[in-house]
Amino acid sequence: MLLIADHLSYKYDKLNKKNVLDDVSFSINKGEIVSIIGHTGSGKSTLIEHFNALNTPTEGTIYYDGKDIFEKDYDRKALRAKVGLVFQYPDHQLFEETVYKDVCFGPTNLGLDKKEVELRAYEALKKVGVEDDLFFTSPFELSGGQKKKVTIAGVLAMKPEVLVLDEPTAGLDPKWREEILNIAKRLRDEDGVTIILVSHSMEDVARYSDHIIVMDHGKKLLDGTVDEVFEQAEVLREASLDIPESTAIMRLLRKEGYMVNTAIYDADSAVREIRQKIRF
Amino acid sequence: MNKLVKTQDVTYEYVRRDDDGNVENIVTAVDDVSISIEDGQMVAIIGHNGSGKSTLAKHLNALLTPTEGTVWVDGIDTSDESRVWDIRQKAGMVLQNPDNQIVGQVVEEDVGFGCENLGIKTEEIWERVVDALKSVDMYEYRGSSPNKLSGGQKQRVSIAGIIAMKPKCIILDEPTAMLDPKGRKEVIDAITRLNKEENVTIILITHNMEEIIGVDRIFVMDKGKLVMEGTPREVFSEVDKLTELGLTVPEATLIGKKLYDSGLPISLPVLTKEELVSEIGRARLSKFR
Repeated sequence: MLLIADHLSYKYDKLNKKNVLDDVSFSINKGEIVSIIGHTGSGKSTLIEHFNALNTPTEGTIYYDGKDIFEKDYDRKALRAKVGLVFQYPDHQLFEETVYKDVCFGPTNLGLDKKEVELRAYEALKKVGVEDDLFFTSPFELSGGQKKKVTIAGVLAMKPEVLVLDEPTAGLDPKWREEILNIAKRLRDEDGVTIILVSHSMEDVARYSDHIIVMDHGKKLLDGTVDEVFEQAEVLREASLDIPESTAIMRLLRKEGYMVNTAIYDADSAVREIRQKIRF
Repeated sequence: MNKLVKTQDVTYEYVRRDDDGNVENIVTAVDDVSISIEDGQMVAIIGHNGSGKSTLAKHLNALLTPTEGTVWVDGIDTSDESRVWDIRQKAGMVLQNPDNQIVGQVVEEDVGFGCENLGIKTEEIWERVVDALKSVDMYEYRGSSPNKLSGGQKQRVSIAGIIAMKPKCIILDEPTAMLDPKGRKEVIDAITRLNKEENVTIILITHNMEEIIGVDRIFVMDKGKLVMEGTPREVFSEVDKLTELGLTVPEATLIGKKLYDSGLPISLPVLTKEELVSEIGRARLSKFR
């Protein structure tokens, strides 16, 4: 287990006396794609800010690679290179004059020599598929999808072991969504990077995750495989979430008496299942 | 029916300059687009990122004026600078990120803000605020602080702020993109109700095709041009063309099309889950005949 949240609680709202995170425990394995889902205000963003010690818990702790990251002499600076956060709004993360300079910022801060910095920046930009002719344009002139790629490259240049993506596809069109999510999948498949994805898209979560953690009002509501979580349609709807549209279609068929499997998350699998199980 | 919003041969170009102010190139964001939207309709504008749909939408309440061509909102030419505030009162805009639109410390204050700017009397503002909040089902939160609300609630407060100005039309630019599934549903339900019950014209920009199954008309943009236009049934008949344009279709539509392609007698297009299930039932029966 690479990352363990151990009875994590976080309280910032003194007026409300409510816990933003309330006794949350789970573990994430190396090389997994884990999704964290939950309604707005369920504590997802606060939770991921604990993963690299940007937030300090009121109670409980996080273990990374077997070590308590909130211990007094734990090297949290080194941790921030290992656990990279990509925030939702690229405009909050990008600031340099050129794409290339922006991606160099992280590794420069790690104190690497210039050559190594430039090599890493180049590799990271290539990895996410940013074309050479964009290297020296201002990041602010790029489209939303391109900006997202550059912010991911900026984090990748620090060679993280874990990449945390907060709503990476919000506001993107279907083509860009797929492109960004495929980058994450490729990083896991080719480089063994553990991916933690925060998302409101049930379809994306179902298609890409090995494991899903569901948050509700600061508490962990569900924790399991894609099948285990999306079986709980009613629980998810109670928590302001939903099931993927294909799953809903299969459930409706099932309700009408067709003996189809309802653990289906995309159109192609739905078509295959319908052709196999329903006699026409 | 009365044309509430009309664009005639609208083109919008902007100039990109380098650091020294030299012209690098001219970008045509909207290219010769003519659309008309009737009073009381609910329509959608779809297209991939960069297709020009948001730029077009900004013309519909005079945030932008065309380089060429003309836009009329309720008969007013948007290039008439003296009428800009009339136009913005008639056509209000809701943006993607609710956090960038809320200014008040208390929900009802925020909702009244636009009216105050219109110079409406205080008693009337309060009446309008109450009605507007009720119309989006947020009245019970009137005394709350906006930052205590969920994303869907914040978006409905933004919508109420526009409703309070009694517009004829609301333009919503990806209002659900940042929201969780419940928030999305709340916003779509609220604007559908405003359209059906209060006859407010709705122009919805979205990437979520499930949200627009029930609209009166869909406009499809690509590379600044209007490339398709029709009812949801007409537009979603063209699954292949939409896919080529980098767009999706509702999941039931896609599954229906794929089942048809696999040889089943499904009548296309299928729009909803319920339609799909009944089409599958029909396809089974037709084989026994």
